[in-house]
Amino acid sequence: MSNQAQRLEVKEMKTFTIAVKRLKPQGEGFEIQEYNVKADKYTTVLDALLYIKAWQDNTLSIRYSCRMGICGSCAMVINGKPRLACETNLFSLGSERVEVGPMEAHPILKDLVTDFDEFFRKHMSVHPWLVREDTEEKFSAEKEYIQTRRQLDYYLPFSYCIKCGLCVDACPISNTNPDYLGPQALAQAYRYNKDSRDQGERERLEIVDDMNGVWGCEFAGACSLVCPKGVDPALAIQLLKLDVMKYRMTGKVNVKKEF
Amino acid sequence: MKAAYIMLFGYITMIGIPVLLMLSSFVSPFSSVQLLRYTMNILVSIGSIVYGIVAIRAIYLHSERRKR
Repeated sequence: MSNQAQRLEVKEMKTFTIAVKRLKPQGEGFEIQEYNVKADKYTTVLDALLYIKAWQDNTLSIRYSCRMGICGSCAMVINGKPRLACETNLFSLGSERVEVGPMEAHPILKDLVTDFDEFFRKHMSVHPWLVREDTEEKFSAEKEYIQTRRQLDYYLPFSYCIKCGLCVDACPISNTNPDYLGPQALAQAYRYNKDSRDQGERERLEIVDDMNGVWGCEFAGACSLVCPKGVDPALAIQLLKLDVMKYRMTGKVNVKKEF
Repeated sequence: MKAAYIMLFGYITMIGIPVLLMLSSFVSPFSSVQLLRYTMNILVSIGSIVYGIVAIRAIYLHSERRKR
């Protein structure tokens, strides 16, 4: 295809109706507000929402930052599916009417902005950091913690989480049980448990061994389907169940290479 | 009791009951192993009760959540 033909194709515009589900003031339910936006084939839902905010309705609230699927700020429900607005192309949705709403598993603050306090409290509760017994190392680091490719492979697929909260929004258990830790926190517990530099597996297994922890998961798998980064929280939770069971039966955690 | 032990009971009964029932049906033509068959049937009934208790507990937990 010639450059001129490509340019013409880019210029092809189409009008989309963006139906935004907005929370009424004083929490009196939702109302749908519709906006018409002209878009080319590269326009994302976030671009359309920013256009609406700039030119049509500056009262519309959205949260965003990087615009390229790294920060996870623009998570919302688009045409009934939890997605990142910045990674969702309008043309790819296959309809000229696009319904956009906030994630309803998180408390809604305004319009498309949700509260992540509880989400991050649960995330912090599983100690998502490297726990070391040698505290001296923390203050006078003298050695390198070199990992082999194989050691890296154990946890790398689960370390791509950007904390967007889409998995929690898709999870049927998180939606019905507010005490459930949720796929994000549990997947992160697994990620740190499998890190060869970590020594906190025992304490994490104690935390997640609960009916609101790993055993709350019914393995619906919705979390893995919606993850924009390809993390598989459902798999992590099932593997974590196995680790918890092994730990309870033997009292031992997985042996890791000592540094 | 730790949740893992409760779930272990659930899993053992989930797998154990069908296996024992199958074994019981296989040995049913042989009158010489009647005692073994009775024992297996008793284990199946105990397992069913344990599985029922685990399930009722789960239902109770879910209903408590819904109330809130």
